[in-house]
Amino acid sequence: MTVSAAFDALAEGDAASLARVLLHRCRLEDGLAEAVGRPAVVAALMVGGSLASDMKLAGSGWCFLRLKGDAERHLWAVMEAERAVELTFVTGRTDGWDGAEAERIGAACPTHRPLGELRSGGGQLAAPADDPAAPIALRLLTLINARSLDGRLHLPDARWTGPDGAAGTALERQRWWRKLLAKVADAWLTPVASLAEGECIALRWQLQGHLDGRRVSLPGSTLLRQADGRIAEERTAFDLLALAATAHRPFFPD
Amino acid sequence: MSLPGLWGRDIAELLAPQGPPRQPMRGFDPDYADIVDYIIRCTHRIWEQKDLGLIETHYSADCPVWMLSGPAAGLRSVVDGTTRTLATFPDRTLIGEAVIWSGDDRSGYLSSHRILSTATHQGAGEFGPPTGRRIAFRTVADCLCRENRIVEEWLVRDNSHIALQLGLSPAAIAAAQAAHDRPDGAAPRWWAAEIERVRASPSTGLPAAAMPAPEAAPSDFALWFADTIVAHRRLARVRDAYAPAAVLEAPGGRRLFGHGEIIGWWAALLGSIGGSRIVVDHVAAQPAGADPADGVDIAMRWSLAGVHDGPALFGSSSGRAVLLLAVTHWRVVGGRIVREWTVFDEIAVRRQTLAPA
Repeated sequence: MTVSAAFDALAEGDAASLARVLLHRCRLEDGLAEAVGRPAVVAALMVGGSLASDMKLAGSGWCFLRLKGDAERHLWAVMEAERAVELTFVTGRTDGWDGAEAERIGAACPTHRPLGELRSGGGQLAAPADDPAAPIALRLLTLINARSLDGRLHLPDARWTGPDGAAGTALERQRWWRKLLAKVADAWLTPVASLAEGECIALRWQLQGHLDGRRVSLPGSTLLRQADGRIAEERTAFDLLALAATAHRPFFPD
Repeated sequence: MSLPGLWGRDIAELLAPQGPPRQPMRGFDPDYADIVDYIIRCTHRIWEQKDLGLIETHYSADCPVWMLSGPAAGLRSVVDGTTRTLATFPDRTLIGEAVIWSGDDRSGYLSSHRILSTATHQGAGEFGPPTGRRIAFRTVADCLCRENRIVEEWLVRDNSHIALQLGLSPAAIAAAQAAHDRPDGAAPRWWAAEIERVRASPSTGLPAAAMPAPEAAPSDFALWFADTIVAHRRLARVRDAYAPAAVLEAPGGRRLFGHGEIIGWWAALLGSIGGSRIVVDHVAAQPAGADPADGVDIAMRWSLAGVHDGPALFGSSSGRAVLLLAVTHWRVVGGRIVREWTVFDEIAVRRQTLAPA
């Protein structure tokens, strides 16, 4: 059974199928919390909404699933011998930029004070420039890090779907990123893994930055469809509720 | 000799009968097929099946156990320590993450066993009255094994992460422990002897050598890392040694992502302990999986000694000499570290800064 099929089975209520494709030592994280061990991971996934998937990419020890639903929900798995050992769930929770839910979640997740800088060794140098020879998914992150949001990699009519499932074009994409960067002005995106199959590319990235003195370090995920060497469709999953909760995380005692 | 490690193997497969020995196992019980099997199976039997009596056939009578909180010796102390921990965390599940081994059955196998435990704090113990909280914490047990017995053990546990998850202050626990320390106690005497040993290690000039390939020369890489990055503070070389998206899981349950945070943690550690010297005490390496593309797992046990003269990690500067006993595990893929787990007892470090002189 594949991970994708196991998730479909779980969506039908069969957790045993999923347990067979998770190693006993698997872990699941969503940026704020972590479940450790197979029973805890299965329990966490069962409360995560429908887990039926409509897109799967695999290779190089990774597996990517896009889960069906209104919001963008991406699941990344590090695989060992066809079984998942580390899962990262990038949910498109968007409610609660400033709400009570973010405060409640944040208060339950103490954190350490930040250590280290975001752009290691960069000093006063500008962010790296776009390299047209680089893979398009990496160029996408480079351009965001350079705050170039003009969609130069996209086709004029490229479709954008944000974490909340709202669709639009380049303008909506730019608005979404501007809103995020207004919250986390020093946001820096680092590529973690990418998978490609045909015209589709899945890219897992990590956003780091600062929010009210707390270090933000949250997973993000983007699914691209290419046409004519440019981006024809972009679907981005990112947990805005987790981001909002970061501002409410208490520090561990010194 | 290469053995199947833990890569891709479920616990049911690991605990199923393994058949005939896969490597020389002179003096070991016949149901242990290799050193990985010995470590995983006896840990399950003793801790999860609660067969604590097996410690009598799996530890030597005089086995020293080196912990930063203080050394212990002998079978009885192992049994008592295990029983106390089980009373505090009765449902502790020990998830073996890696067994990185070296040696042979003549001189002894040395295994570095990284464990991620889950447990519920149900009983009174070293962390005070039970809180009922569910926690996860990491330990590494380096064990020298001969003829079915562990004859020497170095044990590191992320105690500050346990304390923080229980809602406790590592500083307060360390202060309470230090209040009972006596200068001639076993722990302070061992710390002093180890600090002297580490400080007596020869110093080197500023290293300029190229980074050894970690998969091909893991011992050389570990020594280069300790000398270049730790001893000589060439933290810029972190960007050579680690992949850009590397993750370092450090004491206190810290999860550090990327070059910036990893350099930040090493800077905080070395900035807390001035003039520190490092000694690499043991290195082992094994393929991570059957496919070379899966990478190599490297274990490095190290001791670091210096003066607590910075407040970054262990409270206000005390000016006291302190010792770290630590184990680092690296997963190396494509010539760079993609994951690191470093474990030591931060509470025991803080305790040294507070113990009576």
